[in-house]
Amino acid sequence: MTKPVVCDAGPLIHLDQLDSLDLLSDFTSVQIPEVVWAEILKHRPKALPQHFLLRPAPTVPVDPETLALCRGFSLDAGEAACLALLATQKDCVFLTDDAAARLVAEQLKIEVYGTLGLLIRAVRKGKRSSAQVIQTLESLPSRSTLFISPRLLADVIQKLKAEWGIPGNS
Amino acid sequence: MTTLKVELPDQLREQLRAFVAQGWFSSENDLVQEALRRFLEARAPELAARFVKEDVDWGLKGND
Repeated sequence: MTKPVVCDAGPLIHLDQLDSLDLLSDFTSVQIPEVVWAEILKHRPKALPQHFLLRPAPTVPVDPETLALCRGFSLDAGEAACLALLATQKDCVFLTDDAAARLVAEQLKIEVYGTLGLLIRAVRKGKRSSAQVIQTLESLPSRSTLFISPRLLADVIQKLKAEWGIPGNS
Repeated sequence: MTTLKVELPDQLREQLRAFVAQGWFSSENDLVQEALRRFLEARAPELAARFVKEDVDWGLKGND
């Protein structure tokens, strides 16, 4: 049984850039705070309205502890709204590509992953072949605004090729 | 020490001034240094590497 997720703008934008929004389809639910929804509509206006799986979640007030952490780590309104929503729910996963938001989520004991994890998970879930995911990862710098250092990305691709038995170096 | 010249929106400048006036920091200079230090700490390369590793581990072997 998959868990419900709360999704920040980063993974939605990056998955859309990689034609991979469908990778969110097997989660129990995908909650997107209204402020994040508005951000996506601004940057990727064609992405969300066409995707039947995704709907905006109502805004939840941020509790004082979460608010203090969000301010301390300079999180934006979307990230804070995600964490506020997560604080009201148990056993819910946070999807974000922002390092500071991940740090805050960790402090709040929230399970958190990013676009990279979603792409690799697609193989385990049978949604993509390993070759497809390698190809997506290799094209990531040219197709997506997701930032990952070239060296780190090359290491990941090499590790995945070894894990999946795909010959060749990246 | 190096001096940087940065342009700030008026609202941000007012927030800086208010924090110092309330006694949270002894000067705007100290506040900016602390804010910058925290920002960079939260985005350190070793942190990015750890998050990438967590993503890879979850992607490959997660139990969801």
